[in-house]
Amino acid sequence: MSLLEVEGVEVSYSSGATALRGVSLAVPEAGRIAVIGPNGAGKTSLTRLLTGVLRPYRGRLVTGSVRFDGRDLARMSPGQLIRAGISHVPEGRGIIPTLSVEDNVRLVLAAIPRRNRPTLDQALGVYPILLERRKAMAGLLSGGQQQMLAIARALATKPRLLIADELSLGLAPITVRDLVDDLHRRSVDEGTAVVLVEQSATTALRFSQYTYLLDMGLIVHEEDSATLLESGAAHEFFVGGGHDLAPEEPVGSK
Amino acid sequence: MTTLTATITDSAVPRTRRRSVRLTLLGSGAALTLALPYLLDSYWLFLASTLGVNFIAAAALNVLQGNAGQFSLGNAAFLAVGSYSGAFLWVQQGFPLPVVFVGVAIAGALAGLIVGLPALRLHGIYLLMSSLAAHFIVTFVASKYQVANFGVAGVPYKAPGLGPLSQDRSKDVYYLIVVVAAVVALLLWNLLRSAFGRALVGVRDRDVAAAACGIAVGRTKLVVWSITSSIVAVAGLLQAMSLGTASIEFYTLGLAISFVAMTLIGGNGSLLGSFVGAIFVTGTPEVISRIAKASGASPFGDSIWSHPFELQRIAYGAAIVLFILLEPDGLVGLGRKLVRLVRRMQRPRREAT
Repeated sequence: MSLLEVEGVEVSYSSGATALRGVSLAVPEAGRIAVIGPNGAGKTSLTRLLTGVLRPYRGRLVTGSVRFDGRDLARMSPGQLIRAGISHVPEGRGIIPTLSVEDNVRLVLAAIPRRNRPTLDQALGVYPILLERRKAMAGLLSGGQQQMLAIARALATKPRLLIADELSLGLAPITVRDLVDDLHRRSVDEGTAVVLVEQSATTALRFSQYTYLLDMGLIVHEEDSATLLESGAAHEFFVGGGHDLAPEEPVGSK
Repeated sequence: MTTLTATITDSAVPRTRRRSVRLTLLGSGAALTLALPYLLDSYWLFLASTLGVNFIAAAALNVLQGNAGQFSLGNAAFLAVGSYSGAFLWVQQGFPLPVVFVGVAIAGALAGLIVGLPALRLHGIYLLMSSLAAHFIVTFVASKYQVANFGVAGVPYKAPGLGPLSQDRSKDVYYLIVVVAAVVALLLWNLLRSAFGRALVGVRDRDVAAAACGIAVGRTKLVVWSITSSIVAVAGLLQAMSLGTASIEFYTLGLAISFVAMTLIGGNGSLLGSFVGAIFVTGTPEVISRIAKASGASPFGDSIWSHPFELQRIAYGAAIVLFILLEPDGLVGLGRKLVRLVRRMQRPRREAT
């Protein structure tokens, strides 16, 4: 049995739009998978579903099931998800810019039961630069540092599954590479499963073991990441896939 | 360390000295506050009571608005919830004072919960509209209740009567207000420094990031609406005690806006700002009417001083616009800038000696 099992999931919004139209995917224990797709493919809805925030966006799960470690995930609140072992690195700068670096981490520590709770220093120590700048307003950090803070915050809960949404958004390619390599190493070392939801195909393929291509709310292709990288199928799927680390490249925009 | 963090943490004055200065200020402030009823005549004491009530309500609104980012025009409505639930519990049913306070707080919390429900779906100006609707609904219901039970003249509020501690009405009311204001200030001060305070900022600035930290965004909003409305309702009860009456014409939209003015002029999201803003809004009409009187303008004349009420409105409006445009952190922000400027001017001199 896989750690996370998404089966035949259909998500629609109260506006009438259907974002996911029967998506199935599986994440094995300690596995790394990528979900890639262009704008409007349904990536955001998928992360919202997996992180328990569909309802605030007036979306709902029409059919299908989401099971994490055998438990039904669809009705869990964000706090329950964290305690169940799922962490979330939100899209873009997933931090609260008006709080200090420390306070950003304190926020998530409060959601963890006391006995499993790391100290503030342990949580910040994931990236030494965060210890150094702990009193600074998070919004004053560089883009890469903000993303580090978001990752450190997600790792503070010692998750079994980390969902990272658009890590590459608005960051320099070199920064993205460092962050992703680092996340790769941590995932291997700690046995943390990761779902990387990305617009940047190269980043995602290099990181993951298995990749799903999402388009128009459907999984249109799935394959071993290494094979996909070699075959160039993802590049056919995307416009300009070879250079998609550059943020100015329009990726399959409709 | 960067220059910005340096200006926040570092200061030319040693920490221990700063703390003792602060304690001295706090102590003398408290002593003065307690001595005021013996220093002021009844009119000024009434103004001081009004200031206290305004501070209580403004501090609560400031948490809702400044810290949680939930804009509300329901302030007059929540004050009315307080004064009219007080009318029922105290004036009609004659419950003891502590029971009345608890009852009013619960009524305010419930009203806040209901008015806050749209906040789960609405933001900004749309949320403002829904609290505006609450204003008209509450004042309508309250006016029906008032006319049916007390008549058009309003609800007569008797003196609170503090038992053996009791002196005269205005002193009793004043001390009651001071105690509640101190409790509310302490409560909010601690609340903002707790995990809940950080959650509020998270919900205000990045709700997705807050959810990623395990914060139930919707529940946090409802809790802050309940707490702050409960406090405003208690302020409404105290206000009615101070005025000696609760009458529906008092709870206007202008009153609701005057509290928004206090938070914006004083400093959004700052407890001290609520106090400074309350002083400004409580004091401005006083200053204007005194100038009007001194100018000797006839109330029916053509001079602008013949229309002090309109002038007050203009003063609020102008102050709000100016502060939003020029100093979003209000009078408190302005004060901090001045302090920083003075320190910067002192520093080179100190190095020279």
